[in-house]
Amino acid sequence: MNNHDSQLDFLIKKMAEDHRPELPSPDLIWWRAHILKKQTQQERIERPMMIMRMLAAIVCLAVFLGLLAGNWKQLYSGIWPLIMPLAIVAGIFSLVAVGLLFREPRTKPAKH
Amino acid sequence: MFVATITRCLTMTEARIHERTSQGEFEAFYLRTARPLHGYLCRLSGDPATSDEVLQEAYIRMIAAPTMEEQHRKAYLYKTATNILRDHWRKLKRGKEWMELSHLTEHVHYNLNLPVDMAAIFERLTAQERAVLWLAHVEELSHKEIGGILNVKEKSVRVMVFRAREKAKDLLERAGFKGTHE
Repeated sequence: MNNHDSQLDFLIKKMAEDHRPELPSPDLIWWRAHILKKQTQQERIERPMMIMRMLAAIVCLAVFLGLLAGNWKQLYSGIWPLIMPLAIVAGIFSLVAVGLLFREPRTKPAKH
Repeated sequence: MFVATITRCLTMTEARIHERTSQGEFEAFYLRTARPLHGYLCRLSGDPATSDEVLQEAYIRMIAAPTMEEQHRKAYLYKTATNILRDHWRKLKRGKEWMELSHLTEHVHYNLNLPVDMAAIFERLTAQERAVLWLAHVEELSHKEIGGILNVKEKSVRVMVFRAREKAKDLLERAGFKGTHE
């Protein structure tokens, strides 16, 4: 390292030493990190439930649509009243499943 | 039943002790590294508010990361902070300016005791040149470590450091600095 290099090194180091900002407390960062960690854990725990809800909604909708498609001819030929209760039940279940699926979580994750 | 309760209590106490030790370790590490990291981010971004945000985010990610040795932790911290800052710039559609960022919104001057305004010299360098100089001179990291932080090959870092030094020296000379320090 020549003379100019050592001068540059000194100036940069001095500039770094003179930098004295007001830093946030380490406790604050530690607790923020832990809150975020807990939120991530909670999301991880809730993920299987979300998947099951989604599956339930898909199954209900598939059953409902399958019944409709399978009994399309009967619907036209006047047997609609026989399958109507079943279709209504399937429809209600589908709506409930979709409603549960898109239900707002109780705790919203904090913005950071 | 009684034994199980005692075991559970002991496990919980151990966990709390471990958490306190980790917190203590973190505090010590934070006190050693936060100021230089903040300086690095300030020089890179030119904005103290952004530096504060990025600093906190980098430490939070470090806490969430698996335990590592001090030197690795420091490199991880700088790499994370650099990436967060880069993402921040990308969000502001300024990502393309990463290599040649010269226009800054806010100026950070802290080194009033120097024979020359080094901060002003730094501001005339690109973000990458500033990062390279800071990491090489202040943190005294190896070329390999700098490469790891900036996602650049080790050989390229050598060239980058050389060019950044030459440019900084040239700017110093132009600023009238003759070299009073020995």
